[in-house]
Amino acid sequence: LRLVLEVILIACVLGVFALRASVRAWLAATSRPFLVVCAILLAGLVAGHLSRNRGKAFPFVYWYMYTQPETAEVIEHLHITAITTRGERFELNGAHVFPSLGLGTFRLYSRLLGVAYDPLVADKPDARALLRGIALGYERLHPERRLGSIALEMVTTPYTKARYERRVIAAVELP
Amino acid sequence: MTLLHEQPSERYASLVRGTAFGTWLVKLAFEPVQRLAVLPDELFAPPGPLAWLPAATQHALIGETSLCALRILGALACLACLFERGARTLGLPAFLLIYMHESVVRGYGHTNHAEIPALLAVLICAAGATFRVPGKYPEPLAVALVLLLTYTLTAAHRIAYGGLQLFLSDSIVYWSVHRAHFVDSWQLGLGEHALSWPWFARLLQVSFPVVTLCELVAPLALISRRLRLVIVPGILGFHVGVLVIMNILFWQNAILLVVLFLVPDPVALRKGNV
Repeated sequence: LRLVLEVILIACVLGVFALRASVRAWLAATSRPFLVVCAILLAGLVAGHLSRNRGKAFPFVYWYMYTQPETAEVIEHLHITAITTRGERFELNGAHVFPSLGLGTFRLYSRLLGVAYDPLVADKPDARALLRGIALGYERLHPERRLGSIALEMVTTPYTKARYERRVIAAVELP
Repeated sequence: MTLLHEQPSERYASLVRGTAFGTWLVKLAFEPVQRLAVLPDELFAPPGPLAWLPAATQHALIGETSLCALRILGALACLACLFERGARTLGLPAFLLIYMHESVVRGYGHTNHAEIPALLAVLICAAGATFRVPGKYPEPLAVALVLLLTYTLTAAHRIAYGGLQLFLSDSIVYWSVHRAHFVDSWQLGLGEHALSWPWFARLLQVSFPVVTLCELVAPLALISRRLRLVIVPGILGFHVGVLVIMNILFWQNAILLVVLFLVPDPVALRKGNV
């Protein structure tokens, strides 16, 4: 039923748009090959979304954002903490190391969340491999600051904004 | 009701094409995608056609040299496509290079929805230049429709699956606080204050359904001037909001929206269709 409602909503909006006389006049005046390309793109967008495609037919993907009601008593988020060989501890901003993954998006953390929450892999080898890669990327950018260790921490903050707790998900000692 | 961008001028169509290819030119020129080569290969899970390539080819593609080459070739192709003749001959290769770039980046993270309308805009502008009927410039309307349809898909899904419960809950407050806590590219993170400022939490809860409605009917902004006056500020306000509240920026979408809806076409201005 929800899918039907979703299809009806999309069809209504597109229908109202397509039925305008000015739109039909524009269609009639536009070259056929160009319209075919546009029709493929529009159909691909709708089909990719309705088939809940997350990557197989990229770039025709599933448009889900802020859909399911979500509340919790605590807020959990990930931090990458690094310690230099001189003993300085700091929050490493992965988005600055890999702007392609991070510039205004959630990409790097999505991957980190994926490996952090993977219940099948208790010792988190993927998380450690990713941390080693992040450390290497950081050291290439800042050769003067060698890292001694890097850790992925889950920071838990009660929703009432009281004190937070930190829990290490994965940690790597660097050579 | 008149159709926005029904008969745009050549200059305006060039501006839209320049924006579509220009945003990718900036992205490829300034974003060091080759840094991804230090990440472990086993975490690379490419989408779509790239996943069908043999593992050795995939491995070669994500090497530092290959990514540098992809970046340089893509940027040069985008530079050429800023011009009509370049878009006609190099539009499709430019799209394929950008598509490959996006597939590589997507292979290390999740889908970045912000980049998909911009990616499709490139293909539309390439097709427009290739199949040009003299004096006709259909690209601005087609780019605008594809861009606005993505908002409709998002909103329709949210309404159908989230329902009234979603809009009556304080989920939007939770998401705002949650996203603001992450150390990310932008550190504005105003969402963190949603717990201590009740008026701010209320504002978020009220604006959530309003923005969703604007998103749902977004394509109608192309056919109705009155709706345009509500939808465009609603969606642009949403983009500014998620940046300052959640540290998320859909910069390519925002630039396309500004060019398509706020930059007037001199021909349309003369006809009173702006």
